[in-house]
Amino acid sequence: MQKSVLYASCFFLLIAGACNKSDTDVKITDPDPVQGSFIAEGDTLNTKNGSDGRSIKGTLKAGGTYYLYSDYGDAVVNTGDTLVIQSGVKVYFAGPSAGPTAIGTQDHAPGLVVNGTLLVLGTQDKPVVFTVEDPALRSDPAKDPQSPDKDPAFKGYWGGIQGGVNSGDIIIKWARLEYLGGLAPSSDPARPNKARYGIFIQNPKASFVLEDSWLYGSFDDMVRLAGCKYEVMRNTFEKVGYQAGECVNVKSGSTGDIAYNLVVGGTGNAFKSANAGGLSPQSNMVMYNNTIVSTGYRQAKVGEGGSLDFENGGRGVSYNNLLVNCAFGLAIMGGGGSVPAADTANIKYGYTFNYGDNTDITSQFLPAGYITMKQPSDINGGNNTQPGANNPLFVNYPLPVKQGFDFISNDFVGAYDFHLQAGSPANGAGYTDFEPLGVVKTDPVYGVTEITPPGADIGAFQQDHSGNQH
Amino acid sequence: MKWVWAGIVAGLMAVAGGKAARGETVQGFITDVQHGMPVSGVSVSVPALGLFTRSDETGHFYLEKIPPGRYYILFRAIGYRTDSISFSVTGSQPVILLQIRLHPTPILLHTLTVSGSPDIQASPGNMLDGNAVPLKQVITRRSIEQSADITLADIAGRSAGVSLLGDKTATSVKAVIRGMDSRYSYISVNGMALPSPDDRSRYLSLDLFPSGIIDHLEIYKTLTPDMAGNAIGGIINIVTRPVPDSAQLAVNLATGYPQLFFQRRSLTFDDKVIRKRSPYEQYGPEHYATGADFTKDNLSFHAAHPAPDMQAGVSMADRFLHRKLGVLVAGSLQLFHYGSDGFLLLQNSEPQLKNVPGITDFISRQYDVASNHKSLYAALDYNINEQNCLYLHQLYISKDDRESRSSVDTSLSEGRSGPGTGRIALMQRSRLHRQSIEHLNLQGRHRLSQQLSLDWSGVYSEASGSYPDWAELSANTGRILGAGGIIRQTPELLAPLERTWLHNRETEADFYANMHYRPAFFKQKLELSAGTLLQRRHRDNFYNNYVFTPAITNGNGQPFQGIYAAVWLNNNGPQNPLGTVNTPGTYTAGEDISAYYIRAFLQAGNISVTAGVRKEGTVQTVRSAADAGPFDRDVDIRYRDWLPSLHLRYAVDKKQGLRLSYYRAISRPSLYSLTFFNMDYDDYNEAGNPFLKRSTADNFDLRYERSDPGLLDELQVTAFYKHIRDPFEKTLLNTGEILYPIPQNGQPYTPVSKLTEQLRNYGAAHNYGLEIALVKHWGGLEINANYTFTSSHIVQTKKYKQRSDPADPASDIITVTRQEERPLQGQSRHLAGLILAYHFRPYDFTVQLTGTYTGTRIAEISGWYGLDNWQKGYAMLDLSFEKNIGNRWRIFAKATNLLNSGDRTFMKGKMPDLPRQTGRGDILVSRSYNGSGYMLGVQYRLK
Repeated sequence: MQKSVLYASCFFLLIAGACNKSDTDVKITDPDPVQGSFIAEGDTLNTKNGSDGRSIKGTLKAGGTYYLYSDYGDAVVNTGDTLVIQSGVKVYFAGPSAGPTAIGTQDHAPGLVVNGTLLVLGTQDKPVVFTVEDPALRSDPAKDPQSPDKDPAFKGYWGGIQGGVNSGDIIIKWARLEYLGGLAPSSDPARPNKARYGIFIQNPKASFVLEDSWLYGSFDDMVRLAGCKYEVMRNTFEKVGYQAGECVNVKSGSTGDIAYNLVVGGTGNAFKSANAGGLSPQSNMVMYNNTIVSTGYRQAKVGEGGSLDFENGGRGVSYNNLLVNCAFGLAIMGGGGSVPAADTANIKYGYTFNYGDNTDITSQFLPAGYITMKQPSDINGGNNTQPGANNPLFVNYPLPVKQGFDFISNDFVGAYDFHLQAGSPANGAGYTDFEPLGVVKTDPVYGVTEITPPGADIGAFQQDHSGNQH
Repeated sequence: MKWVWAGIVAGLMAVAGGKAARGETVQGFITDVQHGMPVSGVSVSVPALGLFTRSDETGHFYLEKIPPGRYYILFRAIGYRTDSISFSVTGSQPVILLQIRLHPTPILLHTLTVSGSPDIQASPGNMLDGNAVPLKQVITRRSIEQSADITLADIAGRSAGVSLLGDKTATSVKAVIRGMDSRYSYISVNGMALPSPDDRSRYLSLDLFPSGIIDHLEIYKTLTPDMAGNAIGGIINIVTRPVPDSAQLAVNLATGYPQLFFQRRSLTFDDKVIRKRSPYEQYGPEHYATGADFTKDNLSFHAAHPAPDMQAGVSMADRFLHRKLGVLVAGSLQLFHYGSDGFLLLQNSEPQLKNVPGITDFISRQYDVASNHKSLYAALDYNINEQNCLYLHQLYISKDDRESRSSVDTSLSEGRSGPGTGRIALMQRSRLHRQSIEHLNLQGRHRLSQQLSLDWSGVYSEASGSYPDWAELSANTGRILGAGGIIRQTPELLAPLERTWLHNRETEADFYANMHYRPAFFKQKLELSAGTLLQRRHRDNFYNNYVFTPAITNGNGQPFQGIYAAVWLNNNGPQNPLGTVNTPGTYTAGEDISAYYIRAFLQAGNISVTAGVRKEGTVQTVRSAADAGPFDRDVDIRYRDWLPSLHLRYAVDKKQGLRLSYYRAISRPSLYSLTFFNMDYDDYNEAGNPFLKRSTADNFDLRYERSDPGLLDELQVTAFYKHIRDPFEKTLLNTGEILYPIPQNGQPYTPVSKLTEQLRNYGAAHNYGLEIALVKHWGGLEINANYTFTSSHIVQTKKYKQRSDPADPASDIITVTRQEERPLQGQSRHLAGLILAYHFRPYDFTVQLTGTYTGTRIAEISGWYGLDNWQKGYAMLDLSFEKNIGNRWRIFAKATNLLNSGDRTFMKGKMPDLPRQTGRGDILVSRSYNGSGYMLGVQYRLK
């Protein structure tokens, strides 16, 4: 009897063995691919025959005017396609100026999504301009200094330039980009209904060039480099970040140079490097000869973001930077402990020119909580600097500032001139015996026009008229 | 399919045939008079002959070689009234068939005896189930009452091999059976699966079920073909209270207070003002929400000592229509307060070089919860005649948790130059979590002939959960070392605010049918069964979110002066006045399961066998509301599984037995996991995965059991082994890696857009272990002990940060992968439980001490090598008293968590300069304490 049970069990196991087969079928529908279409003169980039968004390629012809209409979705450059924007082109953000569907409101801030290649080829005489069409929606320079709450600079009228994970190169020369940081559409997988970064690129293989451009107004980060080879040269950043945001925020997978830029009225840091995001290569930021003025004051989060920053595994170089009345000096997050330290073994810095008009500023030249050390090559390197010491002597900017000067709303360039007078202590105080990374090829169209080598005068403006051309 | 059925029948017939002709046999079938369910493990004895057996798991028993004469048989079982029946053996009948219906005695089990182990009747602990062929454990109503258990969570935690995973306030509790995460097991009610009100899993939180509706609890660690195959870990089956055979009224009242709120006040807010529906739901998708569409009152917090906890329950039962119709109605209201104090070290989403954790913030946290439970349960049975019975169960449960969380987040990096400095964020979160379940179950049992019976169930269930207006108010300040070494505190500034509405609703309609055939010519020791389950599930998920940005009113921000003074950008309204609805967080999904099984049960001599196979066909579909972008896609998944199982029991002698079980089971990913959701959660972006395969496991159990009142009353030793293919494991993905193998933007795949965690399938896991359970009595003292050792292994590919040339400190930091072997998440190597109970018979007074130990286990898996978060082992101790006064009154009291054992989570490794460390060579990353709780109650019963 028990033997029979055994037999039965064996028989059962045979059946069980025969049953050891399972089949699976997974079906997932694909959205219809949209072919990129060529652009006609005066075209609206983000709709064609009423479509909600549009794939585009080809050329925006020199001197032409094109539109991004706020009622439609993004304009997209598909993988493999190229969009060329020739000199003098104006791209206007058009749409209702008021009411619940006004330009810049939820789902009414289309951007330019770049999965292919974008070449913005302005010239000094004929820059490419991205701005809002209705002059009434623009910032009125006559009202400066104005409360950031009312200032249209932070309205985020459009979604900026958004590079995809597999994008091609994004090359921007002599352009003026305004009012970035519009709300991402609610269907955006990464930041639904949150402010987009002004310019975003996230492919470590792609090149990114931003040169001689003027970037005016953004809600959050103006430029976020989450993977690319980059050259950020001779630009002016004005009114970046409402209550948070960096002018250039460098993450893992990104290496390059940031030089000869002028930053006025940034919210957080001007330039920051952290090796976050898990990509290779390690975040590497070589920054030199930048002039940073009145930055770090709108940042609502205390204790971070005032000028230049290395943290969380970031590596790089900081030389010849001029920091005037910034909330914090060069910040390097310390090593060896529990906090996410910068790659301190691979950070070189010095020749920093700090200037501060009160002790709140001068006592943070070496910011509290960071390991930045005073370097012998610095001007005003330590926290015991006398306020007002070593005036850098800008051509036209009131230093020392008057009693009660509001650093928060004095976030504009206006008629100021940040070139240095002949007698400036910054002149000749810089260090030139090092090389930029030069990761992007030099090319008038497909690369960087010029990688300006390190300059002898600290800051973005050189006595020999090289450097920032604004 | 057909040939399998035929083959099994043929095989088993051949087996059974050999013994068909011998001796006089009495065969019986024992059912419960209320449910009509077969009753297993009933002791069946013929005193005149000294014969003894027990009913098998199908409710059948056999007595062989009975000489002619007149006898009576005695039936005894825990939870049932002892009964007897007389019969005559004439010698002319080959088989005598008996049908026995036992009457439950839900309350007074003292008077019962169970053969072989006279003291077990008073057992307050787990009954070690003697005869069922699948390995299961039963916790009786008596035991539930004696431990003064409040919810199912309290009950389950006392079982061998079961441990509990709770959240910070213990308002959501999951059972971990033998170290398998809760996603590998399920909870059923009277054998029927239930949908979950949870927003992210298919698992039901154990604390939803009040103990008052539970008759007993069955924990199945092996499966037979008639059980749903979605249970690699096992099944927790709640058997609800049946209608008693006589009129009954019981009233319970209890009150209590948590120790924590003697010591401090509880932070609370007004949950009545919360708008259950978002502006989008109230006014439609075209509505532009303004500030006036949102209440501010739910973000106005105040502190107070809460009112005492309250529990009230009433149950009434009676029989009508010549006792053919039985009705039981039970309702309960419970209001509890919980709280916890603790801290958390916030980790950066990525570690530093060589995977040194990057710790950015120290957060001290206080949780306060008022939990409001309601339940209404009704059971009806209608005995049409001896052969046909109908049953109806209705169950409604609701639970509202009003939770306040207050946190102070001090940055260890930003602005931190020493203790007492750094950036500080102050946060107060208001969250109301509403959950409810409605469950209707109509069953029929029909005895078509002596050989053939049929039972069926039609089930409709609906589970809803919602978080209306989940919001956290926060402000930033800081203490910064400034000029002259003076620490300066900056003004408190209002920070952005998000308000979220999250709802989910899952409905389920099931049809179950089972047919049992016991051929007479085999002396009816064979039972062949076949059945089906048709299940239709539908899920709606709704996610709606509004973002408010503070206006700058003064300097660089807006001084924080409470919610009523807050001024927001965009005319004091949300930045996104239309809400955010068309995201993958809003979706509809369906799951259809069609299952068929055949099963054979055979008893031959001292061996019994249950064997069979189950076929489950699954169709899962997901449609997200994302109307653009990469996730505007439909998902359709279909698969079929064959799930064989085999259970053998060999009775060595009357006191000892051996069991061997094999079964195959699967674990289906929850519908939520199969969506294209892509959202920032606590640490990383989390993404769903429609390509997630179900897990399949082969499970083996070998048990030795001994029932010997002289030595140990009951002893069970079980060894088990599970081989799990394609377990679901959290995986960390870098930007650019393949998120989905579907084309996008001209690429053949969809890449990851930022550091993302996703459930994926990984190779195979091996899980093995040993369980020991024993019961011993000395007079009024009972000892009930269990211990489980589990070892599990899985290899996971993790991320590691190193220099590209480790020997060159100037080379780049890169991220590489490394293999790490670890136990499964939630699996403790050691679990132990001990119940000591003493019954003072002269005073009818019982005191019970319950202790459990849960060993160290992985609380959260990290995507980074060596950085898993572990929960430290902990012991829990509860003490309860019970005193009966006369027949009608019962007084009970309970003190829980006497050791105030909290939750401590650590990482392996060492790190200097962290706050609140205990210095034991690991990094304590979080700690929370709930404090002890006290309860005192009275019960009045009228029979």
